[in-house]
Amino acid sequence: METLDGGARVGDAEDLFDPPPLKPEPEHPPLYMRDVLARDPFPPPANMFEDQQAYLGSGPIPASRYFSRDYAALEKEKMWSKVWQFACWGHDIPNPGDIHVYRILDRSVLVVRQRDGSVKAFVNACLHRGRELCETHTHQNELKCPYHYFTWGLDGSHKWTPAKWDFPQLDEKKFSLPEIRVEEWNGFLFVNFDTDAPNLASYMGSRFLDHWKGWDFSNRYKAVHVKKTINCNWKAGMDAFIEGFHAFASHSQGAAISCEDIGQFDIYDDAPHMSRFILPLGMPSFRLDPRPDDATAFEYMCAGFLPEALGTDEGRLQPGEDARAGSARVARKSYVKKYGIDPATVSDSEALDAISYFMFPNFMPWPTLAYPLVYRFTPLEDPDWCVWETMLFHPFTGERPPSCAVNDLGTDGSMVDDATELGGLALVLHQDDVQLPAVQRGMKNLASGELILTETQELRIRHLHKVLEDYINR
Amino acid sequence: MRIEPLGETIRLRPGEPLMRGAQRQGLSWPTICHGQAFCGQCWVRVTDSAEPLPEPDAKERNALRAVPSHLQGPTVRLACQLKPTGTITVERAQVSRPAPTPKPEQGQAE
Repeated sequence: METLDGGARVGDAEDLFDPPPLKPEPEHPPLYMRDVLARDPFPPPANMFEDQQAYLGSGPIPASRYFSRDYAALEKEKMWSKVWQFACWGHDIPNPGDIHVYRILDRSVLVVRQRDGSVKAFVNACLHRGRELCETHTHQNELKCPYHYFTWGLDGSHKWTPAKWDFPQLDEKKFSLPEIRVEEWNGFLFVNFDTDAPNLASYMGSRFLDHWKGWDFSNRYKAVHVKKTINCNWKAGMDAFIEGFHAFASHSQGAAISCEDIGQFDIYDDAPHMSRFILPLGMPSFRLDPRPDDATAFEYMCAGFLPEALGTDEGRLQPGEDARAGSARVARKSYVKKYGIDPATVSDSEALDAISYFMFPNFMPWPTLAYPLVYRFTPLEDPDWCVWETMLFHPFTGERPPSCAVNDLGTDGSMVDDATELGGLALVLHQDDVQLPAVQRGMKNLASGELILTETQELRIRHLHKVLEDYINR
Repeated sequence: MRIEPLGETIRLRPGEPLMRGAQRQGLSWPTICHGQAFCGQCWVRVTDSAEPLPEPDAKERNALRAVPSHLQGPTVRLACQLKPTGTITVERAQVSRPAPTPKPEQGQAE
């Protein structure tokens, strides 16, 4: 025990010492994302320079929106019944008769692949006494109610009534299943309960459609789909995925390679349902003390993208290369190896950065190969709970691989132990999984009853609330 | 405890984790969460230990996942959690002894 200090013991009063001071926070961001993009050797698509074009002030947000049953009822009545919402990936129902069951609060929709390859959606209830026609994803030749065998075709037309003689009131010509509007964008299927709503393209807006022109998902397949029921409001879950501010504290393992403190957070007056962030990778956070040098940041990135290059010439920074340029080089190499992607099509930012779009209220697609993600948070009737889904869409060549099965972790499954298919992302999601229920509990305790938000880094949370309030106040 | 490549030797109190003892004695140690076993930034590689090291508990094992994968290994531990019971040598490049902050000059009393 010779190395042990014979003085005070841990926990004694005299054992207390002042912790080391935290790195002073700068008055302004030390750099802006547009500057990073502008000096990238392989510049990004022009849309990425369309930075924040609207401002939402610095006011607080009432915490009760995250747990009040009255507010949840308003969301259901005024918002969820009016919006285009992401129902499923179209290739999850590739064949005629494939049926996806989309559930939102107490409503349920059958999304059905038709014999001609098109898609129709129906209210999931038998017109007799209301039993759900399907309970889970399935394949059927017709839509037959398991309760009494009332039957409809895949196109919703009425086919058969049991004890027809006993339903004199029933006009079979008018006994089709009520349709729900369904439209497709980039392989994803969206439904809308509102018969008066504009079409999906107008809802998404031309700016969103323009941004995504270069990001085609026709060569992507759903490789991973993890689902977890989590003890937080759907918006609390969303919040953690539309800001990068929490990453330094909550996902500190990334601080040596990601610099979300200078990220770009975009909302646009002409695209009310859309927001975006771009968070730079391949650069250490300015908040780290000491801030790692370029060689260290590059080594960490290389270990992630191309571990076999570590220790070789390829795994070292080349003359004149900084960590970001070197990281983009090894990232592109890994995309060539893994997916056969033409490296000339992948700019530095698309190779590296965390680029996330949000289409209100439940669709969060990430366009690039660095993070080929789609997130979705779906409210449950109890506003303290929601369903959180993470999907990964990988490129393929040749024949389209089938969509993966959904890995449903229930309420207790662990992202790190039970969803290893997430790879390095599992730890990040586990860390969010730990934070979010504690956020939900703590919000109810706030003495002020208000959440305070940054102006910029949490702008997308402000935007989410603004769009939601716009629907509620209509 | 000997810290390489800094080349300093410090004494820990009984039950004191490495990082805490080092900080108490003025060393700068990489960390973000400051001892909450969350960030994984304080990792060290143990290169020698007179006594067998205590096994990492669940909290430390969880946080060790945050260490970059190419650096992980059986001798890598979290300095905020590891409480050695005997002489130990660890390696961590970013540990340093900051230069003392110059004291502001005392103004003349009026």
